[in-house]
Amino acid sequence: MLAEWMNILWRRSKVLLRRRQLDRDLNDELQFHFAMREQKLQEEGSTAEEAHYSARRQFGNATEVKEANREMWGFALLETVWQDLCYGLRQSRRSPGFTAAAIITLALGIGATMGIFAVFNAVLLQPLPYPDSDRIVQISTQRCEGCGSSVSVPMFVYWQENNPGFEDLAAYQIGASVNLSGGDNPELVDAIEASKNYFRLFGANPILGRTFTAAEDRPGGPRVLVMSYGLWQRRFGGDPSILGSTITLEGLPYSVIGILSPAFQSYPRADVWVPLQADPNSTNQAHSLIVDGRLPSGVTLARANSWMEAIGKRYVQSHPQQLGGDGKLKVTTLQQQITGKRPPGFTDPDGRRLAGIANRLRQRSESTAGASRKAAKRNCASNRCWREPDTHCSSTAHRESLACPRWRGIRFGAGRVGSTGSVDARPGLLSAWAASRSRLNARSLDNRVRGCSRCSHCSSVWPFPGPPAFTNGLGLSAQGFGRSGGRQLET
Amino acid sequence: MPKQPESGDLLQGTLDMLILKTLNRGSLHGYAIAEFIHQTSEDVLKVEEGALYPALHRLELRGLLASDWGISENNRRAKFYKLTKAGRKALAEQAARWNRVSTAIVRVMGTA
Repeated sequence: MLAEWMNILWRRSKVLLRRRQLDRDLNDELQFHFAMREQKLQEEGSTAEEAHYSARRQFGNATEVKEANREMWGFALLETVWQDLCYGLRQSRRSPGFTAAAIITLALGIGATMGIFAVFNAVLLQPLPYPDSDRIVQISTQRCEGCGSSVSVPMFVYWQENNPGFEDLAAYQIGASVNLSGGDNPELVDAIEASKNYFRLFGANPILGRTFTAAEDRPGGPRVLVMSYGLWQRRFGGDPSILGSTITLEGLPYSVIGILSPAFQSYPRADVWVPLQADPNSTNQAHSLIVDGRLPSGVTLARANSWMEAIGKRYVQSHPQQLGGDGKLKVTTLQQQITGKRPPGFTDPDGRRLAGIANRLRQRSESTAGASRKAAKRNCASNRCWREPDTHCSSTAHRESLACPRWRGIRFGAGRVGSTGSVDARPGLLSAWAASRSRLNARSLDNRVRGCSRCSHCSSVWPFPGPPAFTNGLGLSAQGFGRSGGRQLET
Repeated sequence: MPKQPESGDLLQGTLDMLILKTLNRGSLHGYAIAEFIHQTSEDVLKVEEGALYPALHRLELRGLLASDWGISENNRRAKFYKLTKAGRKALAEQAARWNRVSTAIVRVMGTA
């Protein structure tokens, strides 16, 4: 059996390169048959004309025989798919306005879908872009049932001194926009005050210079700053001599000690980092710090929570001046904090904003993505098939008159839609990339987004070749055929 | 409305066997094959000409027939088919199967 199939494949391969010869041979063979039949009919008393028509009637549909023969000898599927795609491209070229509208509509539809999904993917599905990000946790206070809060300086200092095992325990304060002056164009930049472990915790490596030392992070330490790659490029043109020089923040001189790698994406986004310089003797009860750390390998979240429960109780005993609720602590993963799967009512302002975004994304991504995609495919793919009656219906009727099988009609339509749809996917992907880059600072689309794009594209365009192949049942193709024929007669 | 089978229509699946059997005598072109079957069966079996050529090409593709262009009896260019070794083997198998089946049918039909 296998040998027979191999032989068939070999014979087909040989014929593939001389398809026209095969067509000519079959034509000659049929012409010979007709000639022989006509000769016999004439010998039996028919006139030449009667014999001519009678021979062809007796034979049946010669076109169908030729078509069956071509499919038998050729790699029929590949060939017809190629023909259908070419036909689709020719049709597209014949109506450039319609094609452009179709491409733009699909690009917008798929682009919107992809943009939403890219954000959804980056915020909710992708792991955070930090080393061992699944082990990075955030420690917050639970000052009342169901609410969470940031941490005061004395609490952080106490946790640091009595660290039960968190790696790279770091505190940082966000939300400060500071005035960067000293050049022609002063500007507001986003600053984060961070303790020295911040950079190791988040894998923020400098490509130039270094990050803070312990001495720089002590109260009264020097004014130093670490700069983002983006600000360095944008404001200072990537000039390496910026290292060691002094720039002015809020009217105070800061020495630039390091430039961070462009691969580092901070959350939230920032341009400069200055030392937190948390004072061990501080009695400041303002809850302004976010404290993150990395769980040691093998330590569960529950165990970390029991650690912090004990530390919270000890802290309350040793700091009688503390505010109510400072002893109730909660450890959650940073991923949960960012994506909004946090304890209900968490009141951190930035966290609430992100939680809101995440929730809205969750709720709306499917419906919006579905709606935009559906709108695109309604407006485009179906139009392509249904709203070109002159060309489409008449060609359908012609094909059916030549006994073209219905499945062939479906594939024929698929070629037309697919040739446009394949082009359409490119602007869609481009839109997704643009959305992803602008919203998430992502530099490329990951495979999940690409996969979603493909699915979106396929579901937008590929179901639509089917219906036109069945229009005969509605009498549409016959109408198209008649109308087309009528026009030809009029002209 | 489905087409009613006519008395001269070939039984499904027998055309290949009849072609192989016809070509067992020597190489012939398509028209001659149709005519031979028609005449040998005393006008009972009538080959659908539209089905003959796809059948010939299918057998050729399977390697049961070989073809060559030659000159016909009335000096026209024609494609002649002949059996290959595989074709002879296939003919033997199909003929044996046909004999078994037709004998069985005759037995059944011969009962009272």
